[in-house]
Amino acid sequence: MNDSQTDQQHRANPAKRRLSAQIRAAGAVAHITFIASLRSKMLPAMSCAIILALLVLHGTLKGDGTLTGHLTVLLRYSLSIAIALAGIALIWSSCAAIAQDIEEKHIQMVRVKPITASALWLGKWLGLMAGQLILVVLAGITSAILIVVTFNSPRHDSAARDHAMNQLLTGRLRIVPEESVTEADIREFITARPALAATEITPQLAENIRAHLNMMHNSVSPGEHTEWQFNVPAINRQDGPVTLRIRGLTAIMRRAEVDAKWLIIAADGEIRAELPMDYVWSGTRLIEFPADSVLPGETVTVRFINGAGSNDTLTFDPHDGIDMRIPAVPFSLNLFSAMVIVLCKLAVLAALGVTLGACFSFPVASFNHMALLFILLLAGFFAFATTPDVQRFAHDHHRHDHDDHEHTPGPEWLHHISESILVGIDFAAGPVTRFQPVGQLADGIKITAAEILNAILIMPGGYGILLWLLGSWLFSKRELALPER
Amino acid sequence: MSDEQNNSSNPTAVELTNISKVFLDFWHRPKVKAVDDVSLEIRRGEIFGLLGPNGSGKSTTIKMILGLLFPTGGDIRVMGHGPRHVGARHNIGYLPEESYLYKFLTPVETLRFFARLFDLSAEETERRILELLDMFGIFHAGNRLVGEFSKGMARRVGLAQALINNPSLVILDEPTSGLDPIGCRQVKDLILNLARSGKTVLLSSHLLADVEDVCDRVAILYNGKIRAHGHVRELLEQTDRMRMDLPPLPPDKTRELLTSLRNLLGTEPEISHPAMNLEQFFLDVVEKAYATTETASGVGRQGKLAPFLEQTGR
Repeated sequence: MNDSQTDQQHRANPAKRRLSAQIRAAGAVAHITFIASLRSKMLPAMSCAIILALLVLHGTLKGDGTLTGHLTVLLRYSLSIAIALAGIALIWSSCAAIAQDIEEKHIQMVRVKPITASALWLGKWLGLMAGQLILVVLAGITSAILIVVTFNSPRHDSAARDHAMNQLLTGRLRIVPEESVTEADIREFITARPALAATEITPQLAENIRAHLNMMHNSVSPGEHTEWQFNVPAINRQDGPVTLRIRGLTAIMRRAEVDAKWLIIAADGEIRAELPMDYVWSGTRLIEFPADSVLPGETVTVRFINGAGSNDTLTFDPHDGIDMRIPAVPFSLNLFSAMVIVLCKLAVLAALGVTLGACFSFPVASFNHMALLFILLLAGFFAFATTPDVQRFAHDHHRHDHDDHEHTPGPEWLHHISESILVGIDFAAGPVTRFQPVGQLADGIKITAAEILNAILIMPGGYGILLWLLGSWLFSKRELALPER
Repeated sequence: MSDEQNNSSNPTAVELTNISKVFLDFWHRPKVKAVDDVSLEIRRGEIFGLLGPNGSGKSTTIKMILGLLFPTGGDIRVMGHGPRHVGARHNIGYLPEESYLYKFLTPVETLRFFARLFDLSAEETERRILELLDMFGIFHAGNRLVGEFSKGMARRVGLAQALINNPSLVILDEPTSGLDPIGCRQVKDLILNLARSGKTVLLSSHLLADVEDVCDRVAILYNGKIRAHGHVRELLEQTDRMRMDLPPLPPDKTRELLTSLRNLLGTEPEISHPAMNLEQFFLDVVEKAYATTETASGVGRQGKLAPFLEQTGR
């Protein structure tokens, strides 16, 4: 389409013409915002800081001395710190984006031109994100280079490399087992108890029964077994073993010997793999099975048998006791996906900063941004701490330890208000904080396309647009040439 | 008739009706009444001067016209629209009292940025940038950072950005601030040329000579109120005095004329030689010096009005 055709279209549709003019104006603002971060040396300085942080942390933090440990530290901690550095710089520069333009009065030259408050906000945000894109790409590339160098170091043997490759330098699809306790199990439990059958089954009671049955299902006494079913999706899998990640809750602190074993059983009853286990664990363990023990697109049963010779009952975490991991994508793709989600998180941070900068002076905006971030990050912990179960536990514990003291809670209404605020903040921040791309990367868990799409829709698409609308509205209501107080 | 046609047929460029502005303190209590019940009408194609001492409310009035401040009371119409109407801003060029330019951009980048805000095509933008740089004598410094410029040079970039969109209403707040006498003269010539090409100019200044030289009408503000307004000539005319300009006469003819006048008036008339004003004398000296100098580091010789500014509209 040539220019004259485009012009004709624009004349025919003034709304479209206005919109495209505003998009171009936003592009112009984005361009100078990016130029500002380059020429003010902010972006080059941050690039150097991130590379330096990764190099220094890589050289000093070695983990448990193994190759896998070293790489885990690099991915989980060094990369997190590098991203945190980029985030802090972003808080500073996003709060300054509009606030400093107002304070240094550049805004008086810009706002009298035909640009709307929303286009100006958008331009600032896009310019900041262009800088962040460079920083995130730089952090990703530097990490990848360090991983390659460490991986190929002659200090590590091939077994260490295989282990690191299988557990870390891969993107494994995480499959959780089917629900162990069905509605039929709950009904059967009730029917078997006449006293219970006579009472009304409230949702809370049904939930308690489910929790009880789930706990029973995850506790295995000597001579007994339990099993989980996994529906393996039909995927193009990568080379590498199948891993079971198990999380034990056994209270035994010693390394007790047991006579247990794991079986992987196909739908037709064929035993695909068998692995003995001779000691009790507590915490998380990874168990590797041969690659061909699980095939894409089938349903397999994982059975755990606690042998008759064992002395202890073994208990799995009823909420997160077991999952299966199958290599699905190469590490490079997983790293890229993680960086996309990191960028989405930074996009929310930038949007919040630009919005605060449109309402307050730079120092006030940056302080508020930091404070808000701090509250949002801690709200989850506080919201959990104020749940009735935890409160009851803390109260009982306190009474048990200090029987001579009277428990004196504050006013009930104050407790309800603060609890509601915390739950509200946690609810607002939850959709953003639940994305943990660096954690997934460091655990070798595949970041799926659905997760990336969700991250884009929720963070820049949801929170970003909300903050854009709010920031633009507040900015349009602000007088931009008030005399200094 | 469309909105645009309606606006262009309206003879009024800016209309202020009983506007006032009260600045509030932190607790939203009234602190200062900067503008008090001001009503004005600026007609299309005229050069209108807002005069007043510092703190009289000139800049506040201009910033309300531009939508940078919101009036506490009254109504403002700019080119037929409210002051915050985005469409109306297409036809406005504004130079603030200081050139609040981005220091990290060059003049070319600055002008390109503002041109993009006006949605000018790339070709048109580059053409206008060249013409404006030439017009303001900063062509040689087009790729230096604005942060390295003297105040006068930055002022020229500020003026250039105010004209990048070929505005029909040009609002200049203290346009000669920071400029040397040559720059001042050139800005005054520019204002006259802009008016000749049909543009409306609203000029704010406390330099009375600047305003007197170029403005058709003025309003004098003091303490937020209009104290006088009207045509400059009418305001300054002293109808109780007369002045005659004559060619030089020989001494005997002068004596004869004096005697006649003395007899006619009954008082002693004053006779002196007219003097060139210092500005004109300075400009003549510099013009001669320029003719004998090969290179200069500061502002170059300024060109004539940029061709695109001779046309009306965008």
